[in-house]
Amino acid sequence: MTLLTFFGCALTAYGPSLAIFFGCIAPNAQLVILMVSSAFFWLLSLLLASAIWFMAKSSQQTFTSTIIYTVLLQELFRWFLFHLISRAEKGLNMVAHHPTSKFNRSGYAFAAGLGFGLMFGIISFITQLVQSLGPGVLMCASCPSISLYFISALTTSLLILHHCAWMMISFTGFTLRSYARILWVILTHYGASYLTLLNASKTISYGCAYSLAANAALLIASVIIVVADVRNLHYKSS
Amino acid sequence: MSAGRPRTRNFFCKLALGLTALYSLTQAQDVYDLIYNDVGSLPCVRLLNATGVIGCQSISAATGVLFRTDSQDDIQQFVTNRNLGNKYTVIMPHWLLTSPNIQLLKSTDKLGAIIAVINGTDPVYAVTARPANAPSPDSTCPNCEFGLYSGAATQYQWNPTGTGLLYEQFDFPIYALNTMDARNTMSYNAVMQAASINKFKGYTSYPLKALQFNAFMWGAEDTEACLRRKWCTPLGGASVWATPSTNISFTDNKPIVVVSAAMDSRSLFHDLTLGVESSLTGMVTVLAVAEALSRSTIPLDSMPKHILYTLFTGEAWGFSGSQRFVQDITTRAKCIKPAASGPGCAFPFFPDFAFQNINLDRIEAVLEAGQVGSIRSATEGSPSLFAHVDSIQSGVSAALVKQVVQMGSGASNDTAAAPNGAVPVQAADSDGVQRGLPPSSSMSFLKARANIPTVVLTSYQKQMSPLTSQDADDSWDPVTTVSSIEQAASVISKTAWLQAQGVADAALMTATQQQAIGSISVDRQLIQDLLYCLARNYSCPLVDRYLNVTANPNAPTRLPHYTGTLYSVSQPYPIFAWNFMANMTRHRVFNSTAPPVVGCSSKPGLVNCASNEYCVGDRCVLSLTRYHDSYGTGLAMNEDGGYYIKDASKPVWTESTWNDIGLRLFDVTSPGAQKAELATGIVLTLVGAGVVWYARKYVAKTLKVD
Repeated sequence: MTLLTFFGCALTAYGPSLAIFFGCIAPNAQLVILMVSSAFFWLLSLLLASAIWFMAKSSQQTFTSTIIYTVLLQELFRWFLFHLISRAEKGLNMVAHHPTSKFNRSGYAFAAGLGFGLMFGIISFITQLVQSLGPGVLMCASCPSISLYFISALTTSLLILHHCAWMMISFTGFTLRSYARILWVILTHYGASYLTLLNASKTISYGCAYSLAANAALLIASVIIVVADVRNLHYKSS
Repeated sequence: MSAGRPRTRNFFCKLALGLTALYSLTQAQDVYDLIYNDVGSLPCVRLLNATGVIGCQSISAATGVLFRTDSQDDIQQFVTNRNLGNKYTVIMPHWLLTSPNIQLLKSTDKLGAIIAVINGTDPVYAVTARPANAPSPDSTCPNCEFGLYSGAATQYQWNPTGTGLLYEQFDFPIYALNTMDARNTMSYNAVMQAASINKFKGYTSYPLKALQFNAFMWGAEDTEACLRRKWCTPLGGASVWATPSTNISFTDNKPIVVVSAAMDSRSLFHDLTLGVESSLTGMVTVLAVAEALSRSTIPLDSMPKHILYTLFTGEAWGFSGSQRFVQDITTRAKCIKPAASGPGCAFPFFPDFAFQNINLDRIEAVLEAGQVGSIRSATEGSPSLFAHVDSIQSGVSAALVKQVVQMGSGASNDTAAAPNGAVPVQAADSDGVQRGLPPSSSMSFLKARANIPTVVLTSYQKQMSPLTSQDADDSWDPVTTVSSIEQAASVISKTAWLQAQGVADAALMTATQQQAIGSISVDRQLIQDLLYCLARNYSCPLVDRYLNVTANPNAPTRLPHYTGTLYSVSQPYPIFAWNFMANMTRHRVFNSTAPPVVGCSSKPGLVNCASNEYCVGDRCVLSLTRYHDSYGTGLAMNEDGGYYIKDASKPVWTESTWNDIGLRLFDVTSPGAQKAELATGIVLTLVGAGVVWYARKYVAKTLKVD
């Protein structure tokens, strides 16, 4: 019976992002390479974050403080990645389907975002996913009737999509030097991260529902910004 | 483009796998401990014989939601409850673990596993709640197919209420809980607490607590098949024999008086096998006899006859111990391949050949202590001891049984009335019915030589104790049982002494003999100590004196009396028996003023025993006490140390090998919730794919890119 949980959680967490990968990224070689390199950048940020975590022994169990530098490092590496892609953009454009298209950068940002997101999704959820193969479950502390596996799967799914949107918004922000966009990304990244703490809360009942609903709302807001930016670009170019 | 894709994907996979492994190493154990609670286990395992398998097997790890049943009504309710839509682990008191109940539970298709509570802190499972008449799970005539009357058309059934549960095979796990020590009490508490949570939730409001059992048994089909595949080991262990006659030889023509008992027992859960009534009372009797006879003022090794003590292991498995001992002393095997060092032989394997000094033809009497505890008699009237003899050649034993009864009455007339409230002794056929010998080690001697005078002393006349081979055979009456064993030991020691002296009628004893027999008295405190040490707490002063068990940081407490597999080191009781017998039968130099050599164990290196001496309880002793390998006589060892079936009509019991056996406790979600999770996953993936497809189409149309 636990195979049901395993496949259910795996599809919930990675199904939508894999659909995006196979539908949008995989047919395009340079997007795949971009995605992998961005995943590598995310890992570098995690490496630094874990080094800090390892040294800061006293705060190892305090997720609130861990999140502060982890998110900050991710944003820093996002910025590094933007610079790297900007430098490589000429070369990338040369081999692109439409070398002169204005939307190429959005595509690169999207692929890079998916790389960030998928690597995050794998690192944060795979241990639980492996455990979900076993017969036993961990229940979600704030929603004791639902397994933590499933709540984590839903959160992971949302956060992967979040990463796609954040990357696109930041790239626009970096390009246009729009601090509002950069600030939005940083704030919502912190917001989404702190919201996940509600899942493990023992005092707030239905914490997982609030966390998921708020996260979904943030995602929708980010997607609206992304769509608006792309439309802007479209009208500008036409 | 197509050439690049697999490579990047491959790289991605490797990266992900590597990181996952790294991450899992640090996290997996923490997460495992959050989810699972590993609890100690007392399993029912699979055994094999010539024709098939018995015991428990589960092919896959069985998982079941804990369901507590305290009574027969609860079991019925479980069976008829239609709201239960999962696999369940049914917890029940051990007396409800009967074939009809197991069949009933199996028929529901809801059964995952069974947990039988032998003893618990909950009043429902307490010793006081045990029904008085719970039947024995053994067959109606235990081991009779290997006994003296196995060829007879009809055999007397000594255990008529036996349910035969031990001989059944189960394709699901059965485990026991018993609050016998700290570790098992922890398991009991964890499981019962989880079951209470489930009960409180009505067994329907998930998450519920479930148990998973790992109980895969490698051995299959029968002994022949599993020995060939090397997936089983012969049941067996070490018998112990001892004689005060350190100079006994095959050709000295001195008759031998054998005093015998079985040391091991069996039950469904081998870790729990104590067999207090089933066999321990007999073993304690023989140990007490050895102690009583060691007080004899006439040295035992100077008597006209030898006294030979035999304590057999493997008796619960077709009299493996006694049959092998008798077979070895009669065949007198020649050594084909000598051992690299020492007096033994590598093939056929014997650590030494001292047993070849025992001449079966010289055995003139066998006195055996069977179930002498009278444990059930405490509630069923006054206890009594019965002297059983062979029904085929009953005349041979007539004089011996007369002497036994005489010794029991404490006077030289043979009335059954015993003085001073001692337990009365009478011939088992005093009611005029010849039932023959009950299942006993003596049968092995009689099978080899039918005309040995033999008496088996038991506390039953017609029917074995219902406690026979029960897991609940773990307690005794502090007064009745001790008195009963004391009387049995007294009768056997005095009879053995008279036999060894060659005195046929106690009335004809010389004055010296009358004085000497008075020196033989059974130590009641020793019987109490032996029962306590061997059934309750092995780390007691008596055992400690010999084996220094309390020096062990994990001092053993209750140890099982299941024989285990051959050459495994799990059965300490033969080791204690050896040390005790070696001390009791040690060579004594009367009127010697030389102090004993002490310190061989406490001061190793400083005090060394002579080459023919043993260090027993920190003291160097000269003793003819030996272990003797015990395993089914149908089995034989070949030159490379493997085993094969030599004679399938004789006992060939083996135990299956298994992987780690274990229980773990955890939460489970309902099957409905799991299906919902899968449905959500599929829907989300399909929605994702749909959105991507639509978005691509939209982008292509609006932005005019393909």
